[in-house]
Amino acid sequence: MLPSVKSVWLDAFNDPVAGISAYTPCVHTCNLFGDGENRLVIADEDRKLKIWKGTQKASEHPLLDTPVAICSYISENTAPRLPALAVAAGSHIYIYRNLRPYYKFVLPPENVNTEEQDIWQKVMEGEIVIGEAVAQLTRLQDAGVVLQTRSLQLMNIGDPDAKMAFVEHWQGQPLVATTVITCMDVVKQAIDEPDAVSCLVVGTESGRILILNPAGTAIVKNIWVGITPAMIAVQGELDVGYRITVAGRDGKLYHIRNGELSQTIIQLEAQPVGLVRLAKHVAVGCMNDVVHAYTPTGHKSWSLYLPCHILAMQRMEVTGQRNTKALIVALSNGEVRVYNEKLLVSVHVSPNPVTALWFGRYGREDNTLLAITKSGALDIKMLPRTANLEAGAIGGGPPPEQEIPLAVPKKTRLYVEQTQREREQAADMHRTFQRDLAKLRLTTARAYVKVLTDGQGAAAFTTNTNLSLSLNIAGLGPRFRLSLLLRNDGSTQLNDIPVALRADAGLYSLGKTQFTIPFLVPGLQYTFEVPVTAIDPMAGTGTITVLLLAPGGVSSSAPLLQAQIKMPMSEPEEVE
Amino acid sequence: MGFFDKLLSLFGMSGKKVNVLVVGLDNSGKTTIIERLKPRPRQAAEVAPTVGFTVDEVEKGPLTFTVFDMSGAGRYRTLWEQYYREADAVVFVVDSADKLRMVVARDEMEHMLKHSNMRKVPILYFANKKDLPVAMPPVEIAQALGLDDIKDRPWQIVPSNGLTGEGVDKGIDWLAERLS
Ligand SMILES: Nc1nc2c(ncn2[C@@H]2O[C@H](COP(=O)(O)OP(=O)(O)OP(=O)(O)O)[C@@H](O)[C@H]2O)c(=O)[nH]1
Ligand SMILES: [Mg+2]
Repeated sequence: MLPSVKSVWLDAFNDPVAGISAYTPCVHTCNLFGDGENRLVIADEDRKLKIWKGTQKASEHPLLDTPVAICSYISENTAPRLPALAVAAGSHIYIYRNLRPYYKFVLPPENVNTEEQDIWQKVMEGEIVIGEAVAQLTRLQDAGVVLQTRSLQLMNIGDPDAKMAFVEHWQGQPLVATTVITCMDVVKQAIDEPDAVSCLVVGTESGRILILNPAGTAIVKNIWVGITPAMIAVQGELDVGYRITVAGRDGKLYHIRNGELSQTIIQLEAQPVGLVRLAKHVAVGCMNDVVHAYTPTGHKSWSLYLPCHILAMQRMEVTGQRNTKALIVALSNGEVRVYNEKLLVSVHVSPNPVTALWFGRYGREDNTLLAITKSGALDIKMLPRTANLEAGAIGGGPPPEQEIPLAVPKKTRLYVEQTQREREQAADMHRTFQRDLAKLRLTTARAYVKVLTDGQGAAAFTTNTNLSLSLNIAGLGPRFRLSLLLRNDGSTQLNDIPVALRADAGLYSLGKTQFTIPFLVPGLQYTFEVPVTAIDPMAGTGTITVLLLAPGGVSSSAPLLQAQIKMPMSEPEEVE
Repeated sequence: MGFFDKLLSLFGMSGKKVNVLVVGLDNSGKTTIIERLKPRPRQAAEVAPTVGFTVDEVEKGPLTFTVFDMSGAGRYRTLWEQYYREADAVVFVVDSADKLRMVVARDEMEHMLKHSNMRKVPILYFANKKDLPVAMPPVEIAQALGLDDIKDRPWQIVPSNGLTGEGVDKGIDWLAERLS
């Protein structure tokens, strides 16, 4: 284990019965009312916006849909700088100012398959009956078209009356494709300052990344990724140069540079569970308990191997004399770890696993860690001014073991002689080694060839069960007779051996394709005959393969023996 | 004029200069409290967050206080220790309503007490903003800050209201008593 790393945090407050259920994208702090005291805003899964001030819940506001993510950003250059709060839910972004609803942004509809649209048009106008419409929709779906929710719902309704009512419900409303938001972040517009004007960046289920204008009223950039973004990490400024890292649902990392999807695609070993941008890297946590850090060009810089599952990840941008950007990871064993680059600088254990993390200014304290646990508790910790997160703080630098000299044994006479011999006869030793190596390679190659050729001829035998089999073909065609000559050369009898015959079904029809040999007495020669008919004598020749499988009751599925025979050309059928 | 002041002026000890270091987290009310110590015409109506620190002189009976009003903002807290050596007394102001940051106040205070330049001077704690509804009582604050563990120097905690000046004189009287 690592040297016992302690917690750097100060315990400010803990409410075990806060009753919060939210994940990392839905926890946020901001200067909500512009009074310099940051509030905690939680978009709870129970469709409520919960506002905390200090150690108390200040208010609750209902939401129309289950929230996906929340962000705050400065939308106007006017003073005082009052941040806008954006709540993404379904296909809408609700923008609040002063905690009052201010604007609602709706995602634009996507293109719908025209055939699907036609079917709906027709069924609503009564040109086709509902049963016919469902059949056509099913055909479309089978052809690989991704249908809209409305079509899928119709197809899933069993009761004909309910189907009718469903169509009636949508009467007159043309089919449009709505999509939903999967993730959201902000990008600074021109300057990288805490109070600079920013824009929202959202990922949609339809595989797009949209960048809105600062007011949140229009789309300024629409980037087609082709796969649903699960998480995004944004770096840079919109007008100067920006980079968006997208963790796709397909377990790949995509990069967008200044609005262009880059060719560099990183295939992750496991599905991503967290994406965090750091100073020089983007850190991605995967389901196989590993965090990888990639440079903007897609090179992997370092990896962290963790003892158990990652539940939450958050960026820790420390404000103060040192501008450290560290990574906070919450694990399923309750540990919350802080890494500065690869270096573990803090560990503390939460009594209940942490499912959501936020780091930022809360109240009047800049470096605050807010954690929400599985049981709904709220835990607030603060970073003391003197905390040391620098490389080399704890466990950094060379381990102390490096200072202890190794106990090197004294040089014995034997050792000296051996060295002498090696020095004088180096060439001989090398030659001997090379010869042995060549021999080993030859033996290996021979064994390999034997494995490859066994069972490829008309006669075969095995060494481990002592069976031999040879195949013969009699006749001129198109009717042949295949005889199997089988002998058990071992010392014990064999029971119930399945035999399987394989041939190209287009060329030959076999009298039987499989049978079981009830008994093989050692030393006796057995003959089995199978009639073979060439279906089309003109069609050329093929091979017949005979497999002897392991007797019933033996667990191995590998065949005991295999033999092949190449069929002769067949005479044409005589017409009488 | 209190009994002590009279006594001191009798012995001709007036005019003794003492350095008072005023520290505490940002927004706790340090500058506001210092304003209350000044004669009424010199008091500023509005206070803005202190940048770095400011030095003021206030008369308190026979004593002349040189008050170092330090900024409590995180980036300026490193300045505090520059004045530990000269400090004859420390005033530590706590925002009673800021329950969340009590732990930060304690951390800063512990660093101050541990500092090698800090002499065994008296410490006065103002549990300020006692007028706010969520204010913690002084006993709870003393507990949260672990004041009972301070055995090597005199200390006192006084609830105060920087806006009205309530409690401020009481605290400063205690300090003056320790210093004369
Ligand atoms: N309600 C209430 N407000 C107070 C009290 N004392 C100070 N304030 C207010 O608290 C705010 C901060 O006061 P300051 O005196 O600037 O605080 P400070 O400790 O000097 O802050 P820094 O200079 O930033 O370290 C001001 O708005 C004051 O009006 C009090 O007793 N009650
Ligand atoms: Mg001040």
